[in-house]
Amino acid sequence: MTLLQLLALAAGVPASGIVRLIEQAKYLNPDLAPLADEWLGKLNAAVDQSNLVDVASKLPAEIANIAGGRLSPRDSPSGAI
Amino acid sequence: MRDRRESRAGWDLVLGVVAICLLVLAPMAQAAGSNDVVKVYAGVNGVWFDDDAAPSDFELGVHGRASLSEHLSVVGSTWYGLEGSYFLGEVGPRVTVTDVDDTAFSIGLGIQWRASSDPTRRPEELAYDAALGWRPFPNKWKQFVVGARGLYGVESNQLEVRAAGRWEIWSGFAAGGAQ
Repeated sequence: MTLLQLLALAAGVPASGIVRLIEQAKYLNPDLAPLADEWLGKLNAAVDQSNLVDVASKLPAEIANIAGGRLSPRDSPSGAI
Repeated sequence: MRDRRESRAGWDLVLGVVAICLLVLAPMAQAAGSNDVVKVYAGVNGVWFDDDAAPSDFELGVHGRASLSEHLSVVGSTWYGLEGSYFLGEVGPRVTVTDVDDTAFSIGLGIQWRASSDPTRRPEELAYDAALGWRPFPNKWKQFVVGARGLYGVESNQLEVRAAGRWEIWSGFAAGGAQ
């Protein structure tokens, strides 16, 4: 399995589950609608095939850096979830 | 009996993978600087296995992540289900697919290996993983993160969705690499 295939599979059903949860929260609390719409827009852009191809193309170089002991951490909040 | 043995073997594997990650990471990291590779969070999850509005269960536990590069992390966690009285462990790689320099919002995709003490509901298997994280107060309470996560079991074909709250309780192993 290539990295792109892995990302595409993870972007399929699991991401649609998050979409469903956000839409349910929006339905239960209409005050959350602007934030929910912003999240849904970013989520759809993130799992778009062209974005996944772009990210997957950067991973081999990053894996080589990790293997060489050159770590470059980021503070992405999704890492906490 | 067989399920219990498989579950025990699964737990041993989760703990082994976490221990190996720490043993590999520790020598690679330097004990200085602010760009910490490893962070540990205490957390709570609301879990849905179905389309009901109310969560199927609530979980308390600990989550850790090792950010190794701009996009690539290893995440792992262990949870206790309050309603179902089960333990659950997960570990696997995660790729950030949004702006890596945005510390307030990001989305990650990956694959997790998981095992639980209740294999009928959470079988031992690989699961495709999508996570959305948001810091509602990025300046005042940077330690606080909320989010949502979807997991889809490769063998069980079971979709599970979680709403999550996290509080950072420890960070360390600052990297010396380029930012």
